[in-house]
Amino acid sequence: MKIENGFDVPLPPAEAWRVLLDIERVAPCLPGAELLETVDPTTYKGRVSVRLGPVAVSFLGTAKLEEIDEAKRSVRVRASGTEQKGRGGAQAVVFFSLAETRPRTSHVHIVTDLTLNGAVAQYGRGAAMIADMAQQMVNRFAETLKVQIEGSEAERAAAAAEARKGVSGFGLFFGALWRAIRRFFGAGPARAGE
Amino acid sequence: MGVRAIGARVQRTEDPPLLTGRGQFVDDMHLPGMLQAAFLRSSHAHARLKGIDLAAARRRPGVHAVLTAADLPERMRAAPMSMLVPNPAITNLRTQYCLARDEVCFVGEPVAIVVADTRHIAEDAVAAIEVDYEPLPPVGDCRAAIAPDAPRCHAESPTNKAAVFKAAYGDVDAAFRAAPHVFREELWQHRGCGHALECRGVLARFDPADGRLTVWSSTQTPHLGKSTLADLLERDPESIRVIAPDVGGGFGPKAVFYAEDAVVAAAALRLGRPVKWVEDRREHFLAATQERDQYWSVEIAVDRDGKLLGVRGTMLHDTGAYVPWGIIMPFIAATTVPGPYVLPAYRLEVTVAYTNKVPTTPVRGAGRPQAVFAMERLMDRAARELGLDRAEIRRRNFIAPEQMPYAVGLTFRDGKPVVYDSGDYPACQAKALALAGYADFPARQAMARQAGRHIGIGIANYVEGTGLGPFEGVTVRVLQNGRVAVRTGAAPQGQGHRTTFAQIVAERLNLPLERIDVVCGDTGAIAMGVGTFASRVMANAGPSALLASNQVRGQILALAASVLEAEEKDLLLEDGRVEVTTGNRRGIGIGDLARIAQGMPGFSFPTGQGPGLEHTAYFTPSQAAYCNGCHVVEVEVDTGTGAVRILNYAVAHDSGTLVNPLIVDGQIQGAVAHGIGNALYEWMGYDEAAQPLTTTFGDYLLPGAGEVPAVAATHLETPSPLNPLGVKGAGEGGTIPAAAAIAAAVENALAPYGVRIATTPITPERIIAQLRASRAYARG
Repeated sequence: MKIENGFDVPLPPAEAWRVLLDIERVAPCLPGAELLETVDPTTYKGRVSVRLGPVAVSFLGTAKLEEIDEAKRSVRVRASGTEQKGRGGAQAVVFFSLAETRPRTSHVHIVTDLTLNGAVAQYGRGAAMIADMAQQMVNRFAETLKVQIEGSEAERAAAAAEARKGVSGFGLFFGALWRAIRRFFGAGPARAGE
Repeated sequence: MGVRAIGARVQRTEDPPLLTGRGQFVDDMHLPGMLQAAFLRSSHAHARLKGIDLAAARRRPGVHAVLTAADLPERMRAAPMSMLVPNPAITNLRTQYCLARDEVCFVGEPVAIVVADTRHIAEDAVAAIEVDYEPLPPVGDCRAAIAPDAPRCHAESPTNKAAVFKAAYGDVDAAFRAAPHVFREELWQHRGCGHALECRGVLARFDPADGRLTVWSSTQTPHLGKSTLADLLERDPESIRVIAPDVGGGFGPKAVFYAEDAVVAAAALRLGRPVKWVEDRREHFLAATQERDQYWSVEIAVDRDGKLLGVRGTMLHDTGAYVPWGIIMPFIAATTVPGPYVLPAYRLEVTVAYTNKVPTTPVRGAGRPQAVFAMERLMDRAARELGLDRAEIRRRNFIAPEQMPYAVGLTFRDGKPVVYDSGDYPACQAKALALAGYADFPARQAMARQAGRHIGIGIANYVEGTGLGPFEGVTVRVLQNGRVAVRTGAAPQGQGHRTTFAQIVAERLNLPLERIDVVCGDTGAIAMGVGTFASRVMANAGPSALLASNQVRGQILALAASVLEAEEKDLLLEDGRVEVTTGNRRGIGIGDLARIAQGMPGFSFPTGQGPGLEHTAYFTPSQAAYCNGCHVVEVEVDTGTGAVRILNYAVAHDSGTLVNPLIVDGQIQGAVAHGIGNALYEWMGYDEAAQPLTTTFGDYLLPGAGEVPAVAATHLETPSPLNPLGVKGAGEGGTIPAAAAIAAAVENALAPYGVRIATTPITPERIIAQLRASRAYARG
């Protein structure tokens, strides 16, 4: 499935580009993510834990920066992971591109081609729900990153600790569920003949 | 007066133990030293197996073995499993390896087995196995699969087509050229599962003391299991015994021999300890066979009076990743289309396509629901276009009772011509219409519409080839304690075999049912057997029970005549005794006769007497016996929610002589429930990468008691001339026309909006979408 989303970074593109490619610095901003090993400057091993409602899944995998285009400020990452309790896996090709939207603010546009397999594909149940979850994860990432860039020492420590906890409980799930319900009833039918 | 058991509404003797928790299902069995197994299954719809790391799993405490294909016995490792039902139309044969070797072709395909002290240890160890999959492009939709450039379901296969064949008779193109009216429909019935209450299960024990392997399996076909295990394990067939203990439902998917059965048996042999595996519900969704997926593109030619001139079209059948049971379902579907009608010309071109999904094999109905859906939807279409009543157009086309036996012009799956042996189709529909209050329906509908309610009625007829051979044997033996042992290879899964076979034997031996013990589904009890599927048991094993009983009755009377020094004509066999009806009514119990018939060591039998009071009969029907039925359904559709409620469900059914009408009523009720599920609820969803999406009962809807009404059923009994009991099958008839009848009723209810039903399940979403498209909600 294809997922498109994005986030803002409170830095001009040249600076944002440098920060975002500092994987060891930005990885902890992703909720539930843990960088385990830097294999080489473009290959990383890590773990991402997500709760999908009552189900907690944890992916162990590798992300490789396949293509870094400095001129266009775009990066293509290929990631694949296996769920740690044998409940399937995920493969993704993620394309990031960076552009200045306002002075001192850059927008990162993300296009993800995600493939889930095994039980995790069944927990997901519907591309819309997964896209909503992905957007919420990206939002949280952007917030944490913003604090890392702009916040005080204390705020940075607090934000990092919060991100380490991962995607907290049911918050993300119900956010996504709520959007799905609103979508479903958004154009509900009137009774025929009325 | 003797025991009148055949035709009596006898309560099932199976029920008291089941209802009081004394059933013995595979999972109830606990053998000393028994270990538990869990399977590692592919999480990919299509992938190459590049490597597998078992070290972590093997290290876990409590794990006894972690086996992959490489650890299996030679035959299981070296070649895929055999295909069980060959057909020359299969030009690209693909069957599964017991454990995947180089390639996995559907999500759920077994890759490895873990045997451990407990199931949870086994499952945790499965999670610790690391598999290096190289994902390959999957093909999930059979329509996409037949395109020349489609990804291949099997990487090395030149095509995704498993078979292409044609069922035809008459000059169909000429019929269409000359026809005043031709109407075309595009139809699709989606796949669902069998969903027996009890999932699959297998327990295997090797006993070194006698060198025997005993396998208890939740199966419909124990003798098939025995012979397949003998081949795969390369063991003496006489050293293998397969027992189907209490089995909680089959519905078709348990008729197939599964890789898991052989792998569990191989693990038990390797470890020298009993090994049990019980399928959980998620595994059942992933790895037990499914059915229905067929796309039909068909047209009907009729004259101005609505008389049929021809039907032609194409059908695409999704067989999933393999063809374990051949192409039986599309074959049956193609031969079921003409149904109860005089159809002068017919041609269906069938393509069977592989997809990276779990294989399809018969599920209750076995291709017939799709065929009946096609034919009955075409009949409804023709009626609507010509302005004819839907019952009337059917009446005009029925095969008349005096045309029996009626040769349709097709060849059935048993290789024999489709020849309907008996039946009265006009009478059957008339009974169903009367039961449903069809004549009064227009008034009911008018009143409902005035009240703003949308009710509709639908009709569907079918003819079903049942009672397929080759045989099913029954042994009847009188024991020295005066009881009668009955043994058959036909293993029940809830059909009440023990009751009905006892009824037949009881009537012939004039003996109370309580003194008859029936054992089914044990390969140790009878040499040969086929199994319970395809509505075949009563028409195969029933006559065998009758013939064996007749023989034993003859043996009893002959021996009694000799012992009592009387003429056979003066003897009365009653209540387990033979008495001389003349003189001082001397008599002898059948137990004593059985003891005499065992003889005395070293003494010869008197002339004419043989050992034992025992006979085994294997009745071999010459062809299928064709049952028929008519369903008339009344529904209400809520146009606000799209929900369909069934108001009344009427069935008229003719399966020949009824041995136990109570059990047949139950079969009809249960089969209708199955049909309602197919029509309205059951949807086995897959995403575009062939990943199954509906693997819980939260996502996959089964109808419950709230959705299934009490079915009003009435029986016609046109005896089949093909067997001495006159019986035909009754297990699937309730399912076969259900979707067609319900679709017709929904369409009728929503006729003011021009809603058309061409696809099942008929979900609220689909109804609402059509109502929207027809501007049902437009204001003003």
